[in-house]
Amino acid sequence: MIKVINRVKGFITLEIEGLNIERFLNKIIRHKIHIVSCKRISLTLSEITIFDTDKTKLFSLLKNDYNVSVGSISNGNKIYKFLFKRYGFIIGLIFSIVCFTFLCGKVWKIDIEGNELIKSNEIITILNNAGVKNGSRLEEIDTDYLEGLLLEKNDKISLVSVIKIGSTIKVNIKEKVDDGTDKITSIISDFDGIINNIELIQGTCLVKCGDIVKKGDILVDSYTFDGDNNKIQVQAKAKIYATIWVKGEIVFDENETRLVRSGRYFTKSNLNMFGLNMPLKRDEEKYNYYEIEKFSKNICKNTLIPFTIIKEKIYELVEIEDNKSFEDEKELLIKKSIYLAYDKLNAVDNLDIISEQTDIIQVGSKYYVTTYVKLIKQIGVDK
Amino acid sequence: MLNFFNEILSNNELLSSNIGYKYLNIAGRMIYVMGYKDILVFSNEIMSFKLHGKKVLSVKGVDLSLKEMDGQIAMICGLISIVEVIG
Repeated sequence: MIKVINRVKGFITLEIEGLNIERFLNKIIRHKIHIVSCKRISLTLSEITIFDTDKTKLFSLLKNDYNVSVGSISNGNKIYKFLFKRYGFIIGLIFSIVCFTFLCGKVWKIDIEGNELIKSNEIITILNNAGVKNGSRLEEIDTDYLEGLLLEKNDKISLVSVIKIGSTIKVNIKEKVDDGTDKITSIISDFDGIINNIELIQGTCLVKCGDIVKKGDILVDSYTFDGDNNKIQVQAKAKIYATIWVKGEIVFDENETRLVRSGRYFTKSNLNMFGLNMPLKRDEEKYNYYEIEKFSKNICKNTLIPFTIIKEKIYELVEIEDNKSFEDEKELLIKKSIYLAYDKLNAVDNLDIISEQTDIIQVGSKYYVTTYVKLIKQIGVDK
Repeated sequence: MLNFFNEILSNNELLSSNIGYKYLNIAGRMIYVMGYKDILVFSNEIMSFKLHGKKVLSVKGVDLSLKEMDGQIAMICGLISIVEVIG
């Protein structure tokens, strides 16, 4: 290791002039000076290269017996001298690295984008209260938590993403679109029917008792007139009751055909890479009716190799006729049609039912089971 | 420097690693010497090393020079023609 450091520090080449160079070499070896290279140029002149660190030790051994002149200094030595003799530079460099590392771990800017209605200060206040401010440690900031917090604290935010870019916290906001819920609305009929009763609270009623209304008709408009006969906009409010009919229909075929798997099948296998399919196995058979089951499996569990095997099983289907008796299924079909009728009301409780009637019509092998429910219901939705 | 001599000797029961001098001639271009005491002759044509047991290792050749020399090992480079141990 010391030798490696010495090599980094560099070498020095000296020209030594004097007699009996062998004695000199033995002397420096005994003083544990490492010779990198040594060459005799003439009888009295030799060139010797040693580590720069051994230079002073060598000069102390020479005394006055030999004349020494410095030949060359290797580059390593120059770099060593440049770097390791300039303590101020080294300290400044280390200080800069430490400062840079320290400052990189802190938040120095909070950048908010995508906000038009929401003020940036509101967001910054929420973040500050959560401990995110200039000078906070980046490691301690949980972006998922901040996203949840912003969504919770500000109702106007629809989507938010918080990301760390360098020493900046970037908050990207998508504001909620004004869906018009705060706007003045009219009352629109949501069923076909005959108006029975009207309790007008606010607005202008456009229908009267006994009127036939269709789905989508305006029942109460969003305006009224003040004392000076000026038209003013108001929120329509009213309770309107109407007689309505709802229908539930179900069709039953005595000779119904069903498709079932015959048990025959063939498989197709494809090797997929980035959406590119390469067929592996393909047993083609032609079926009139078929059903496909698809499986896919990654070759490598951790998706290191992006190959996926896609296997398709094509099952043959055959037609089977089910000869069922309508009389056996009648009760169940009537119940189903009643259920379908009531399902359209979107409400089950407090229904004022006037009548309930089920009709059965036969056309060939088909039976149409239809249930009509007549009832009084509050109608109208704000729109 | 890697002491591969000890590696070779570790597989030979007759020789121990402290047998004295060792040298290795590599293609007549380099001599690796280990276990010398002093340098007796140092020139471009001949280099002699005093060994333990009053022996002398003599290397003759052309354009000889020393490389990587310390108290235990020495590497001689050049066109080596004769290596002999006298004594």
